[in-house]
Amino acid sequence: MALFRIQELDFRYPNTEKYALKDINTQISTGDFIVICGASGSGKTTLLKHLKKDLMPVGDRAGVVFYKDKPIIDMPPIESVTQIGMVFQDPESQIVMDTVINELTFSMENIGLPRKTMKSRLAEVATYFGVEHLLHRKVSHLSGGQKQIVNLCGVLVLQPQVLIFDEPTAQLDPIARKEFMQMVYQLNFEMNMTIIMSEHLLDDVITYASRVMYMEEGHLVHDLSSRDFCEMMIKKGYEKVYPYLPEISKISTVFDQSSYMVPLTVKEGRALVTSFYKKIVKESDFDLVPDKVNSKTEKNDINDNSETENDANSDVILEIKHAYYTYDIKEDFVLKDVSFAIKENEFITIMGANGSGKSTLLKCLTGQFTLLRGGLFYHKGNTKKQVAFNQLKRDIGYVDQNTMVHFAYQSVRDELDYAFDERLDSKLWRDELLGLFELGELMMKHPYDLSGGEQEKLAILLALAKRPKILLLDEPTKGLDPISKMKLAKILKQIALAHSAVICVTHDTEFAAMYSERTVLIFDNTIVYDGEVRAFFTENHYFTTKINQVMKLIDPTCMLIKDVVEWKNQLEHM
Amino acid sequence: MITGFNLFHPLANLIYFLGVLLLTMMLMDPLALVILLIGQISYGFIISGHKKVFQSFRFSFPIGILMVIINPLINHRGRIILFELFGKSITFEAVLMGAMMAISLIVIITMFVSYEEIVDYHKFIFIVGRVLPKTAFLTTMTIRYIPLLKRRYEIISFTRRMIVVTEGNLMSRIKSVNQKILMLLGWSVESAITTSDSMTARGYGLVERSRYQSYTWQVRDSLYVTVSVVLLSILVFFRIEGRLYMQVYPDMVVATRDMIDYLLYGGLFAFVNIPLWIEWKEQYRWHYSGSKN
Repeated sequence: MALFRIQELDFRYPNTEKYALKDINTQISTGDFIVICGASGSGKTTLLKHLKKDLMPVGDRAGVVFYKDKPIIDMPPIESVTQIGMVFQDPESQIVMDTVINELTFSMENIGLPRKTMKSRLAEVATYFGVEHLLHRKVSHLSGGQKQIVNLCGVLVLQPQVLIFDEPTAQLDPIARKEFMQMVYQLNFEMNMTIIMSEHLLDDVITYASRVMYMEEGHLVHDLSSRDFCEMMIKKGYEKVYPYLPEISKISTVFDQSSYMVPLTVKEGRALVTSFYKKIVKESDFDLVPDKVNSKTEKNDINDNSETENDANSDVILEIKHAYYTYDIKEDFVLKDVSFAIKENEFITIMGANGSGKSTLLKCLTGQFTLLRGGLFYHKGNTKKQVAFNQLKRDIGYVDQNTMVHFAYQSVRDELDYAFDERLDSKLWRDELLGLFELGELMMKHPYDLSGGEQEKLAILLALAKRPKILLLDEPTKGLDPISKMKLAKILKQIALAHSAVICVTHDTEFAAMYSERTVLIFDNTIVYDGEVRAFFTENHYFTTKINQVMKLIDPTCMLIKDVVEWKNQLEHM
Repeated sequence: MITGFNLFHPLANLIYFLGVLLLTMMLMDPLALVILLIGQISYGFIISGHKKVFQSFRFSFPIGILMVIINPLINHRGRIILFELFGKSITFEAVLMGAMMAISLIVIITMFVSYEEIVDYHKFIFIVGRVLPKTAFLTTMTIRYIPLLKRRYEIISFTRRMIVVTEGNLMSRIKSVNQKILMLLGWSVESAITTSDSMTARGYGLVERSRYQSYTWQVRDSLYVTVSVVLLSILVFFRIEGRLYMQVYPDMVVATRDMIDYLLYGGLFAFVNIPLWIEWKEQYRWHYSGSKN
């Protein structure tokens, strides 16, 4: 018996022509772990909301959703609340109450459970998921990952049979994402709970998921078991789906696809690459780290050194030296002895764990904060001097990770009118940027109605209005679908080449490897690595790209698919 | 650690503080006020520590002194004239009245030092929730929003400072704050959509809500409430009969105190100091038991 059966479901939001969902037919059984992927606006959230009666959107609907063979519309409200739970994307705005314990009991109080039942359920869930130590904490003192775990527990105390997730980890850092996914998997594996989740990136869920659905413009285009999904998309070469696939699966496009299984894990990926390598290289020559590789990295290092010596101080524009900073004098330092220089037209990524001080470094670079020790130096012409914020801010653009805080007006056009003045060169600059960012068609829209990718682009465009020499971005790719991410990254690259230095705080190792030349790792509130990206990933074993993890033992300089292609070509022509 | 009177039922706590408040306002008698003052200060010392009590003095003493000075300046009733100032007589009665008002004020402010400690936010919500469940719920939600909005406003200010070039005169500053508040509203309304979805998804408003937060009513609570209410009733009854009240205007009457008066002072002393005694008893036990290492 299918738990959910969706028949001929069509849906259109009021006052729109386009169908948000069209011809959806599928079944979901008890114990399934389903991942729905697709671009933003493809109808993932709308479909998820059709699986929970109390959240069903208003609009024109045709077709039926059955839950346990009864139309879901007829489900008693209290059953819908207790049997089907939902966790949303934004960890913060889902929370209703002030402390964790109040938040967890909130759900149970709503359905009028007696106090004794509440106590035992609370004890059970808090112990099972290890949130006991958080119970009496204020919600405002929790990290994003902890908030999302509290949200999940707030649903679990109702003892649901089905859990629906709408991009639950899009706002979390990689460590918190893995932890959260493992909890979800535990529920699926140990409790046979049915999981339905929308997600942009398959990397972290592919091994857990039993089925993957791909949506495009309201249609459910592909609906396959996770291994079949990856095999099929790669072997048949569906270009539109390709960006969504796990990085490791993409590695198989490099090789002759008919003879290999498409890998899903690092283990499978390594097996594939090693078997290829063994075929080419004779057993006697078999050496996991060829000399060639070592010489290559060494050569790179030498190049780097000579470059930095030549360039030293020549085109540095902004420099922070021995900086110490804290938000509260009674607390520990958020930045300790940080020195960091930005040169013209550089593309730098700043990486590090949550709370290591990445965002604070970015904020200190704007000059708004007074450093406790050390200084911020601005190079103009041949002079180098410590500057006040007011002199500096014309030359620095800053985009926060909450892009919404950059919008103050009713439409994109108004935003642009206020950001750019009437002078001719300003108008030309505006047109040039609009062409580059492809935002021309959205002029009349309200900024809040744009998709995540469009909002990010608009915020960056506005920050570029005064032609800053340096553009500081806090997690620009957070929560974006892979296609929007790729487009944004290409735009940023062009800006870095032609207009201003770009500094991005990011958690995305692939993004750093593909687009930046220099990367900075912050650990324990200070900089522990500052240098070339390739050298960084070559040295790292854990904090690196997926492809690099696969290639580690064979060629540790490979960071991306294109490096693997190059490696393969070299090997074949040896 | 929570000990003594703090472990009693919130209703018992509330009766004590309401009783102290009522008596302080009703009893206009120097000795009664002194009993209340000493009681509140010593309880404050035990419950909140001397630091917090002295902190409250920094605020209550200046106001008290001001009352002692101002009352005779605006009130010239009374017979015992101390001296003349700008042609107006400064009377002893007015000074005494001012002093009594000052002591009541200091008692009430000192009382709130221990009130804060004993009736914390959770107990308050519990008590309010009994009468007004919706109000209690909304208060809790609002308390969550205060740090959230503050943080969001800081982020908005930070990003605005990067963009807005014109600064300086008052008008543009007001405009800028207005703009930031509008942005904060826009952001909050946007995120409130998710909040409301999350509330609906978890069944808010479906059936009558039950309550998790609970305090059990024990025998000691009944005992305490009975004793307190009886004492309070007696004191109020005799106050209405005209005792424990010093007439100051128009003629100051220094009443001769009889046996009943002294019993009433005793009753007041008992009422004020029961929580102190409860606290002291537990601390005494702990000090002289094996649990202290």
